[in-house]
Amino acid sequence: MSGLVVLVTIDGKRAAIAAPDVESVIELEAIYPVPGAPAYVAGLTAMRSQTMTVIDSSVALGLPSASQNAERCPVINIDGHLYALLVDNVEDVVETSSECTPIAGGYGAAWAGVAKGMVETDTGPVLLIDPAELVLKRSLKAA
Amino acid sequence: MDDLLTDFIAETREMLEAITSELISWEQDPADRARLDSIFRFVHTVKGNCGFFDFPRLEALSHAAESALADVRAGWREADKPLVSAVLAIIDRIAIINDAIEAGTPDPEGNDDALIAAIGGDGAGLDLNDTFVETPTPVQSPSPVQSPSPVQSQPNAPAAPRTIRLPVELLDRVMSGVSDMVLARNDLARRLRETGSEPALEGPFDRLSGILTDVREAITRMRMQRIEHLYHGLPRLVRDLSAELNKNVTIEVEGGTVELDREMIEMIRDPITHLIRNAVDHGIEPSQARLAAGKSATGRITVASRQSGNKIAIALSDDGGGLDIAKIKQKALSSGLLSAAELDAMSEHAVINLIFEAGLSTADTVSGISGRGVGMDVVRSNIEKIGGTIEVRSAAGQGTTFIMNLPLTLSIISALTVSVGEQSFAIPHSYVAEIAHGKSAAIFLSQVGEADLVTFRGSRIPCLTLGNVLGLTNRRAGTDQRLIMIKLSGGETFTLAVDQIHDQEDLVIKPLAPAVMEAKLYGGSTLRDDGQPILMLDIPAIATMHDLLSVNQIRAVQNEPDETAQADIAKRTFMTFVDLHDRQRAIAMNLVTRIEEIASETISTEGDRSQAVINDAIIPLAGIDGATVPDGRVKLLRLSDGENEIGYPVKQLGQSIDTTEDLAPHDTDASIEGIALLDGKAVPVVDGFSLFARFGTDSPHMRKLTCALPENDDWAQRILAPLITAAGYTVSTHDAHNADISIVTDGAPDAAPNPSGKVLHVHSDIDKAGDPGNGIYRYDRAALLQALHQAQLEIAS
Repeated sequence: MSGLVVLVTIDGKRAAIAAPDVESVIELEAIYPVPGAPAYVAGLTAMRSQTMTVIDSSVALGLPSASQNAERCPVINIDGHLYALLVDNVEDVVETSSECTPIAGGYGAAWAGVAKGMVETDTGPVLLIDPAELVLKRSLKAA
Repeated sequence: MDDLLTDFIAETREMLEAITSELISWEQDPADRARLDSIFRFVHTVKGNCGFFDFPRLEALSHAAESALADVRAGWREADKPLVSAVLAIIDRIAIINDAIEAGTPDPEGNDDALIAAIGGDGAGLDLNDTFVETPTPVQSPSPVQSPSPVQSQPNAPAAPRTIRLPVELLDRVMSGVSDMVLARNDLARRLRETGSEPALEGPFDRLSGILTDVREAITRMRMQRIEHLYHGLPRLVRDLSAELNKNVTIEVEGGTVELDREMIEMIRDPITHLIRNAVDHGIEPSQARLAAGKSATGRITVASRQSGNKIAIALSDDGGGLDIAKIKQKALSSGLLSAAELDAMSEHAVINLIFEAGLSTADTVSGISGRGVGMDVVRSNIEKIGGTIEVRSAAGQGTTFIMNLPLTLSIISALTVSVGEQSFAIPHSYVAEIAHGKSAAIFLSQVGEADLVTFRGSRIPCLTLGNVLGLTNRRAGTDQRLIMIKLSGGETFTLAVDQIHDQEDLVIKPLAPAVMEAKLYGGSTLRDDGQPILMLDIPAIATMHDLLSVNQIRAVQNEPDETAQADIAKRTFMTFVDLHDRQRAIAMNLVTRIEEIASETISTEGDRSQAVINDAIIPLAGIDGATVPDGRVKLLRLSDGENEIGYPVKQLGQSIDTTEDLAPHDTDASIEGIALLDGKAVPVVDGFSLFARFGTDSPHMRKLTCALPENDDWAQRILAPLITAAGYTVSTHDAHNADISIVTDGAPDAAPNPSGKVLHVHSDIDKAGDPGNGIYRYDRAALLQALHQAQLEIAS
């Protein structure tokens, strides 16, 4: 697949999310924690009078929570629910220059569930992830 | 009936329109099974609907077409050209008759026999082509006034009720749009407040808010329907089923006024029908078996619905034989669903809920009624599709109950906002029975093992600390907290201790993401006016989680007060306080019903009598005796002897103390029962008996006064009368002559008031009421109440 991707950094590693999957990128204001929710749910936030669930991407991958998160968050919509993804950093929206191809040997345990494959960009190869997997895989596992 | 007929006509027309293209395709390819099915469904539906009305022609026509098509579906007949043509001719005829019914004109002339014969059975020997060519002619020619085309016939149609049919999805979109608009309005309101008030914006903004409220209400109503609509058909269904199965079954429905989203009603129609079929077929035993088991010969099915918070619970029970656990286990084993070891480890409740798994039907024989088509797994998936849950409870020999919990898709609910630490949460108001301050002397907190108990009005109620429930804190319930008495729909009570109680608001509840639902603590989320998201607590889930729903727990709660009452016989509990004369006093705790703070303005004193207005009721006050009431908020003990209420204003509340010692007598003051030794101090105890003898409302001084209202004044009857009754008067309309006080309005001339009574002028014109001696403006509630109380005091003294 070639097209636009949003480049983000999760746990110090660069990853890409297909631009059509991203509803918007927001400046995160306050996060209101949800007591009792799984650890990867950082809390709720409100943006333009809409409530969204904030997902800590690192924790969702089974990694330790990042010490510092970017203020900007990509927002994705799954089944009508909005999720803001906490990531280390949100870079640019860039054009990919290749199809999405799998890599022999896999991507490591943490990334295996969410990885779609590798895409080439101007700044080198990045891992294309499926944000829905990031959010929902964890829900299923925890259930 | 007219509504039903309109619906029938509209539905038939709609189906005709939809089916036109199907007809054409079918004509081209008669072997097309899907098209055949949809045409079959059409004639089948028309035939079914005709059963309600007396349309013999429509019924005969649709029946003929249905039989023929059924034969085709069964493979007994071929969909050859003559057959297709005959079906088309019948459908045309149905359209024409439908138009005639709508227009209210007599049936178009013409004989349907040829049409029916054409389609009927063998078809051999009939010149089908001829029939087809001929038939349309008599259809159209004898009714020249009436155009066969539905479009052209419209202008002639009588004024039908102006209704339109809309896809529910469209309503959904409008509704969610309006909800978002409310949230956006709240956001805007907050920003307006932050930037300071701007008079030029305030007016239009208020107007916008008002309109939005109206629209929201209208839209909500648009989608709501009483669940009765679903229940109407059930008695007939049960009657037909029991006749067919040769059983005696009656059905009772309760709670038909519960309103449910229209779409929700449609979605649960099939599951409920299915459950009822099952209940009649498998649940209720044959009469002989019932008699042998010592039950009445007639089986009973009950359907009850209740709204609790933003959920609707529908319970469908039968008093039949119950589910056969052994059979369910065996079935689960043989179908490979679970292993024997797994089954053994499961609770009975878990086992019977296996009936919702796919491929588990315990019926031995597949009867015509149930056990075919949809199974319980489909029922469950349909309920879950709309965000509901279903479970089953069963007792062998006693019956089965299915409990469905359904959400109100998009609900606006009244909720209490509370907070723990920095965080706010919402509690549906329907669960809140009462609120108390932890410091309140009517409340006693005690610990039993690890559990907190609250004693309130003689009951011991389990107490959960919200912070602990949410894992935010680990503390005991304390006097620094506020206590919310929660009452669940089953009548179970418990107390929830929170740090703060803020406000009661109407909140638009939005569904939560699955990840958040996993916490199993929340039912939805909402945005507060300040833009902060708030989670709404799922109170029943929290209660279940803490075992507050189990039968044992309920018994324990109910029994405990009795036990303590016995233990309390020798012991008396007093509450100490400082009265308005700065004296230490105590009062028997069982007299105190609650402690309130009231505004000092609501207290009025005349001579040695004082009273306070609380929630439009007048309560006599004791313990003032010439003391000045401090300005601002006054703490008030509300005392009751079971019939009468007295307020006792105090300066300061003390504590409650138990004592088993007798009181030392105190001779000089009749208002003092005795001196109690409380915590080493001698405190005079106020005598409840003399208190109520002197101040109770039934004392002769405070007899109920009558107030005469003008007879022909609607406003006085509708608006004023309730206010006057609440203020402690008896309202009289015709006996003005003997009334203690007479109200005179501008509209109705005074009808000879009691010469010795008081007269109160009430003006509808605010300018006339300007001067205090001149009467009162009719909507000046405070002044009205004040005048009424003043009169009470004057007459009493």
